[in-house]
Amino acid sequence: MKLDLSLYDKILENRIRLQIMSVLMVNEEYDFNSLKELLDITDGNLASNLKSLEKAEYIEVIKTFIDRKPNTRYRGTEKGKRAFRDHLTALEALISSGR
Amino acid sequence: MNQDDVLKDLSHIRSLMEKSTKFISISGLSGILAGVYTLLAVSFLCWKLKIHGLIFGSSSHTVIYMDSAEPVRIMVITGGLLLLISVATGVYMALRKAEKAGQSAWNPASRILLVSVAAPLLTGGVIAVMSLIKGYYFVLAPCFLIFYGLALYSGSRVSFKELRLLGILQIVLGLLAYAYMPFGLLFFALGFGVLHILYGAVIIKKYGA
Repeated sequence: MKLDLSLYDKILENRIRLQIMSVLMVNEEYDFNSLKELLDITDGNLASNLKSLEKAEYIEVIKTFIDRKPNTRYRGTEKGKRAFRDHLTALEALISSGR
Repeated sequence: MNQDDVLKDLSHIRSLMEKSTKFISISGLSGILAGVYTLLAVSFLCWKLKIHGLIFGSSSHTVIYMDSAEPVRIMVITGGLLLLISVATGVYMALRKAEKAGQSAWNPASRILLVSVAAPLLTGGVIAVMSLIKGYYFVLAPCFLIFYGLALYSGSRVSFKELRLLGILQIVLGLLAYAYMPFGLLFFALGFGVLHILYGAVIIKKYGA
C-alpha cells in the first residue's frame, strides 16, 4: 500500500511543537509558565518552538498584564487545529501501514 | 521516524491532553478523613444533644426543641469546625500530592476547578446563612448536601470522573433530606460521612494513594 503523506505536517514533526498543539487542542488557552511546567522544558526551548508555531499561524499570542507582570497566553487557531488533526491522521496511517 | 517513536509520541500526547485539563491531585485519603470527621461530629451531636436514632426529638416536638438557642449554637459550631477541618485537610493533602508528583497545584486545571465549584458553593453558603438567621435550621442539612453535590458535579469536568457520581448521590441525598426534614442529620452522615469514605477508598484503589 502506498502511504499518503500529504497530511503529514513538517512543522508538527517536532515533538515539542506537537505537544504544545495537543495542549492547545483541549484548552481554550494556556499560559507560558504553565506550559513550561507541563512540558518540563527550558524557557528558550519553549519560546523558540512557540515562535515557529506563531509564524505558521498555528497559534495566536495574547499578551496581557496581571499585577503589572506580563502574562503571555497562547491559543490554537483554526488553521493550527486542522493541521494537528491532519497530522495525527497521517501518523495513524503510518502506524497501521506497518501492521 | 519509526513506528515505535510515533506510538510513544501519541501516548505522550494523550497524557498531556489529560494532564493539562484535569486536576487529579485530589487525595483519596482526604475524602476518607473528611468522612471519618463527619461521623465523629454527628456522633458528638447525637450524644451532646441527646438526639436518638438521628431524629431531632419526636417529630411533633422537633421545632420546639430546636427553638432553644443552645443546641443551635452547638450544631453551628460543630458544623463550622467540621467544614473548616475537612477543607484544610483536603487542600493540604492536594498540595502534598501535587508536590510529590512534581507539579504545582496552582495550574490552569485547578483554576477552572475553583471557578466551577465557586458558584454553587457560594450560592449554597448564602442560603445557609440566611436560613440560620431566619431560624430555618432544618433546611441546613439538605441545603448543604444539594449545593455541595452541585459543586462536585460541575467540578468533575476537570477532575476525576468519579466526582460526578459522588455529586449526583449527594444531590439525591440532599433532596431526600429535604423531603424528610427531621432526618437531616442522618442524611448528612450518609452523604458527607459514608459516601466520602467510600469515594476515597475507590479513588485510592483505582488511582493509587
